[in-house]
Amino acid sequence: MMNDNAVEILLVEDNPADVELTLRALKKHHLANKVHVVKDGAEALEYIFATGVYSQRKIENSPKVVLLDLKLPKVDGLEVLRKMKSDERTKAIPVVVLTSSQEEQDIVDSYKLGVNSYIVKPVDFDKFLNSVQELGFYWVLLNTPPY
Amino acid sequence: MKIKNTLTLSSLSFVVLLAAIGILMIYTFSKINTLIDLSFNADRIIKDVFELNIVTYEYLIHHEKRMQQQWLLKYDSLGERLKRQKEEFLREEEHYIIHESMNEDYDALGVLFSQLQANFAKRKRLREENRPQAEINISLALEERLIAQTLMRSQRITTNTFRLSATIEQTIAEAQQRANWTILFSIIGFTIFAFYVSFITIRRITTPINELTKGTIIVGKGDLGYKIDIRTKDEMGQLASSFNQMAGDLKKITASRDELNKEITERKKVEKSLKQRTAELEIANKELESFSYSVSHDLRAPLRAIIGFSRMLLEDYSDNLDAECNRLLDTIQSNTQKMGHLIDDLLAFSRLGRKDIKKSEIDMGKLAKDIFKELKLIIPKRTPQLDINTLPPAYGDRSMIHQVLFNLLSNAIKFTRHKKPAIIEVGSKIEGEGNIYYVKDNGVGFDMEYVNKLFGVFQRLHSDTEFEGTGVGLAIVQRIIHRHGGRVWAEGKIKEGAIFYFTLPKKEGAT
Repeated sequence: MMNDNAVEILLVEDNPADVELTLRALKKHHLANKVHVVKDGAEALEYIFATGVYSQRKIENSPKVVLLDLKLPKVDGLEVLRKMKSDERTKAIPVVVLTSSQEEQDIVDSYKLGVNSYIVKPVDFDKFLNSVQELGFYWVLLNTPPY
Repeated sequence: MKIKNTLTLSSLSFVVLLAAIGILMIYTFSKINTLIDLSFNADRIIKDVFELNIVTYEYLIHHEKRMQQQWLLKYDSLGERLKRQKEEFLREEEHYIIHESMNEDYDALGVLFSQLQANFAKRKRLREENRPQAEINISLALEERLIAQTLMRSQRITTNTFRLSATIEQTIAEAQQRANWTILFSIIGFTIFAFYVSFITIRRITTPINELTKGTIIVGKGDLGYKIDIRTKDEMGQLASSFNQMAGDLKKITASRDELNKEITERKKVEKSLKQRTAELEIANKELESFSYSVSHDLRAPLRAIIGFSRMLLEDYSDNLDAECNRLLDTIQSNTQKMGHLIDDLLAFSRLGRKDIKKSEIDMGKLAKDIFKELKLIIPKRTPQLDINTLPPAYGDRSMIHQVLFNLLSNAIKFTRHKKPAIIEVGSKIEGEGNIYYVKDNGVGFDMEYVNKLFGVFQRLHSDTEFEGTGVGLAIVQRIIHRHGGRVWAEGKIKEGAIFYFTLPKKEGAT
């Protein structure tokens, strides 16, 4: 179990290759050790709401940003987003959707649910690294979190 | 014969008959009147004779000149009456004889009166001459004889007159009887005529009308094959045959109307199945679109992994790898990147089919300039010359038309890479209903033999080493323009350049 205070980024991603690439990118900004990874929507919700496996956590110790993939097993990314944004305790947590989907409907739905940012994962590795780095830099280092 | 003619003929006959009877009656009645007149005349003759005698006596008594004149008057009047009688009533030989007799008597009366006058004058003379009584007595005796003859003659006239009267009366009676018979026959005739007309009416009018009525009811109920059976060559027959004709025509019309209805039903069925097919096709299309979308989408993630991990290899272990290894890894990288581009392009192309078009007015000239500015930033070192002529505004989806011009202009820039100076021209022509826009370049051009391949998906006329690209750009242009209802085509000459045309229809309702 991680030390709660150390987690600044919650990465919700089911594809292990993408997890590795993302972590590598975050490593460039020395943020990799502040990342917690969950591999599906259900586990993401358990983490955020401190239930199930993560019932030892405190909800108030929320991450600075949640990097959320949309295509997740068990509970869908949009569902996680909806649950987070409709609960008073968690709705202020910044969520960045990081997904392959460029579907207009997904974009619209995500913003309707209150997502803070929507990033499409580029196929090009360099670009992907840049995106993740900029993300991390912005949300963790630059942006002032709500808590 | 026609009914009209029959009735006309009957009416005419009736009128003729009426006229004949009328004439006959008038004749009869006038004859009767004449006879009655004669009867009166006869009475007057008798009276006249009587009066004549009285006047004769008066004369004999008073011997006044006045009496003489009166006698003459009466004599003349009697004569007139006798003449009239004779003229107007000579039916038989017998009458002739009677008239002769009467005339004879009449003449005799005149003579007698003259003789009486003469005798009286003689007696007067005798008295004046104081002749002996014996002579006077002879005169007196002569006078008595004359008077007796006068009386006899008068009596004979009277008797004959009576006889004539009787005949006249008989004739009147006969005439009256004749009149009565005529009236009777007329009544019978008219009755017969009335029956005949009714008969005609019934037989030739009412019965056919009933047939017709029956026929119209039967035909009205739907049996258009029924024929009214009236074959007389008159108005009824004509009516019947016209009606039968009409029924026949109606039958034909109904038949063709039924055929048309059948055809309409057929067509409706076809229309329905067409609609179904269209709906099915639309569904199939949509499924195809989302299928290609899913495929492209899901292919991206592994691609990302291949590129990323081979990159990591290069970054972390390049010191331990020889040149050949590096080269191999580079090849993996570049090919995977290419695949990425292909997928992106395919995705974009697929997305085009599903997007809704939102039309608005587009300033094409400004759009071309903006796109060129964007493109200039990407190409290093060189700046092709761009001529933009006045372009009429277009009516279409802004982002899609942006894509069209972007693809065409970036192609123009790409394929003029080796030309100095590179000249690109954007212009337009007006033709009929729509505007034609073109992008012209003086680049490497293409062989017109392959013009049909230009707009195909992934179709290329150059290898990747000559000019990079996936072959989707023009396919996207074509798809967008087709969705707007326009046309695309191109002309080219190897080494000299190419012109790409596209049309966009004008706004509906605009001049």
